[in-house]
Amino acid sequence: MWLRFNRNDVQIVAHYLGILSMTFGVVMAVPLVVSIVYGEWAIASHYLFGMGVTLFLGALLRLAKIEPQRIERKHAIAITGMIWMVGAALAAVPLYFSGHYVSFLDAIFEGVSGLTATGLSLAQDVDHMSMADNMWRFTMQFVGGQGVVVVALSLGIFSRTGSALYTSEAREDAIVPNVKKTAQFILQFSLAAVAIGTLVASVILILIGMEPLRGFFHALWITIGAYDTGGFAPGSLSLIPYHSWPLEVLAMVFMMLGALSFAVVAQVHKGNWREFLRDIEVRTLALWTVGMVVVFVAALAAGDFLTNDTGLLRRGIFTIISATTNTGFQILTTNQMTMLLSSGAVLLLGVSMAIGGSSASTAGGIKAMRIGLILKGIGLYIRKIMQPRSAQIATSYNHVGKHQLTAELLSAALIIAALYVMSYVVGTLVGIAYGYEAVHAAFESISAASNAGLSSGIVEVGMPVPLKIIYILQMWLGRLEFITLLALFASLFASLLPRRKPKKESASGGVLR
Amino acid sequence: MLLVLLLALTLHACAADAAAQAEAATLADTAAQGEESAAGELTISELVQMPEHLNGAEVIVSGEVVGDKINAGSNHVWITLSDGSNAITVFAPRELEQKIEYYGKYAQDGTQLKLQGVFSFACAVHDGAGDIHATALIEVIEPGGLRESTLSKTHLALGGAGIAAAVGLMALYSYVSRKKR
Repeated sequence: MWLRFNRNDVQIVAHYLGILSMTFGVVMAVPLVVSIVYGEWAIASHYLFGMGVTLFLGALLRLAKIEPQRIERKHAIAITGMIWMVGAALAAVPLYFSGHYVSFLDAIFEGVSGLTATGLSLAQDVDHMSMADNMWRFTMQFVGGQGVVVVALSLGIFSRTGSALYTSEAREDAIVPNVKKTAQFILQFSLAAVAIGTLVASVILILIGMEPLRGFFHALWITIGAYDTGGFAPGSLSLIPYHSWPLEVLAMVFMMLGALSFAVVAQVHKGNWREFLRDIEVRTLALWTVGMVVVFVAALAAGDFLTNDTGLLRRGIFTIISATTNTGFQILTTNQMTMLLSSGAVLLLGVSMAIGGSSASTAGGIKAMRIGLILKGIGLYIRKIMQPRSAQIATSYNHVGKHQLTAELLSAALIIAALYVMSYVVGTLVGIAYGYEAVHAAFESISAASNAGLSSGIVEVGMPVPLKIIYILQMWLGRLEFITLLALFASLFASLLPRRKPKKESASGGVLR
Repeated sequence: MLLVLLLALTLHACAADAAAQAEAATLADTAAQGEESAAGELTISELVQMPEHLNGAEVIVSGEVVGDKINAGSNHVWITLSDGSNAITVFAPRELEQKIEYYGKYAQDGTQLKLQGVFSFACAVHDGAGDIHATALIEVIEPGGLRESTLSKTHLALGGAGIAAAVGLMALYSYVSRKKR
């Protein structure tokens, strides 16, 4: 039987959506302060307006239920599922007034892309974008990268009822037994990582000639974009205009750090390197990335596009790491990718994006953990076939301790992997239906659903509105790994259907027909 | 990691300097020669969208200087030229910097330049970057300038009203919540 929402459930969900919306309103103070510091007065008024709208709607929704009881699983699914879209719509308000978006839908697209740490953008003339608008785009990536619920939990919101929300946000690993403490570890570690990255990137950018304060902000944004595997960039050409390989190396380090599971990072934080090296996800990701780098560089070398070895390695390694970690930073222009890369090389990037990073990390995609489990499952199946029927064969894997691979785990991994593949296929078919080349349509669809952000050029202002909506849905579904949202859609649908009357029993005890 | 990166940065700066010196050709030296051999005047969008037969050709492009100036050794700089839809990075002799009054950013129109240079779809000297090696400055089309960023009174008033209303609703929530207990 499907879960149904009654009036009380809707009031509880509205109450908590209100609280989260108000948190968004408070976070808008970050770009507001930047706009005041830089004297961007028109932009400051946009953020004040955005804060007003967000706080008012949030406060209104919160009134839907006074002091609600404990959040149940179905409430958690609805709150987590909806806040990503509600948050994106609210985030779009100041962006829309910036003049860089043709329609409110484009601004929502940017909001969804930012919050889900995807990095696809419909912003026009980014080179003239204000510091405050850029700050807002990267603040969204930071909040979305850690997880909206994680940020709310670490700030003390939902302290009594956070567990169900935490798992609904496609997070399963409990780094410490307490969910609030886990969320706080994630946020504190992320802030420390961003601080270190910003410091190093600032030094690099100032040394290559950028004005110090502007260099600091670009360093902060690039670090957030890399660590949160978001991929927005302060300019229209991603990391290309900096022409700095130390900056690219730094970005690669932070992209890889962001693609690691927080649970594994916590083991390293405790000095448990052995656990890190034995981890199924780390091993799968390492093997996969090295393999993809070798094949991609070979594919580049086979063409006559890049003629020197340094260029091959520099552009090849960076592009694969950007794709595998689902970041979306580019040091190849979109035209270089679409016109000079062979279709095989483009396909490799697509497959890298499709697999993605680690579970419980800032990266998207199917995830290395599921691929590792599926490969283990294939091995187990082959071994079972070769043994007598009476033989009991099991296999285990390491991920913060040793675990047995159960049929339930394997089927969950297969189901979610299948849902990702189905989403990639649907997005591709819609792209093809609109007349785009199949390889490019597949590339863009995978990029959206895996929250990667690399583009083959389809995502631009003039693309068809239904395709924009499809990509928005893909980014939303992909970020929450499908299950939460599918459960929400099914429950909402079931709630709209009329309830069946209970079947009356006949005098003889049989069911009336 | 910090030390390794700083060391790498120093090495990078030295390498860039050497590459720049190897290419050192001043705008004045090449201006006359450039005017004769130019393939034609193109927009940046045309250049980046049909690159294969233009690869290695001498081209003339116009655009606004946007973003930041990036050092490329002691004799050259990187600038970004944009036509509003597409952009390309230009490897230019440092003396060009003196002609740029403004770099395009928020509330600031960058200097509009018409440049002549050699277009590379994947430059062999710069590890495969798509770029133009500027050989001559044809003209400064517009010097650029500042635009005013004025406060929107409507947004300000509505935003203030929204915040005030939110505070009122929060007070109402607290009141009802206390009463309920």
